[in-house]
Amino acid sequence: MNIAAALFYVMGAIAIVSALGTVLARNIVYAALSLIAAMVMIAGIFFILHADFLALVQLLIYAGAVGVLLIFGLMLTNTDLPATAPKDRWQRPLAFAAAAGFILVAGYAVTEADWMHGVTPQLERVPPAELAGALFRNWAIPFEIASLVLLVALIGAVVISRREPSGD
Amino acid sequence: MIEAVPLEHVVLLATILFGIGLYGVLSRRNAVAILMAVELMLNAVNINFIGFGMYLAPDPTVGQIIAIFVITVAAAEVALGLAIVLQIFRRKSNINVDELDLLRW
Repeated sequence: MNIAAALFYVMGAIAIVSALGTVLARNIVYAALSLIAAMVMIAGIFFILHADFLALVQLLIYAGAVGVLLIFGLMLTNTDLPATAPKDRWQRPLAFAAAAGFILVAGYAVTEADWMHGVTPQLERVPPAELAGALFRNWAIPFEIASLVLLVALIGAVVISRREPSGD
Repeated sequence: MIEAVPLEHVVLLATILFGIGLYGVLSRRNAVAILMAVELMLNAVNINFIGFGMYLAPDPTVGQIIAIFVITVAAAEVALGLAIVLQIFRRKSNINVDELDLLRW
């Protein structure tokens, strides 16, 4: 067990605990902070999996931008939900059954499958220059479409979230 | 360097995180909390893409590029989702999804 593998398991465990905190925490701000912790741990896992660029993107976009955006959303929609509304408690067991069933079935499938099938993984670090070359040559059209998606989302978010228009 | 981590464990971690996110989406009532659980599920999917891309794909860049696109779409999703939640909050002073039943009748 070398250091990288040990770090993988440690960060994976912390990510799972933080994810549980995200979905279970009573206090919604604690849930948001747990989510940011889980995202930072997942960035570390990307780093161990030799995806350096993705680890940095994960830190910048998820832990940074999305985390701040979610906390802003919490601040702007500050309602005191009743801690436990008895009438809809029936959703919890069903949600738990669905999630546990998914984890058991998919986990069984994952552990039983013969993924490698005799292939020896290369596990070589992809230099960012190679990633950029692939992104701007082979994936140029999806890249441009993604930029269009971001532009439409930006305009849409501004239009949707502004206050009631007075003129039209 | 990471030979000691088998692919199964990477995919298993992603499965567990996805399941936890699924539980959050189904059980939470605050719309922002549901968005957070969706982000968790998208992150789990990204772990899968990078794991498979690194271990199995002939071209190791493919998994990372797909993960970049997933992150792009997730950023757009959370921005639009929060805009919609904000507008719902302005109209109903409430973001409990159980009470958003305008389309039911």
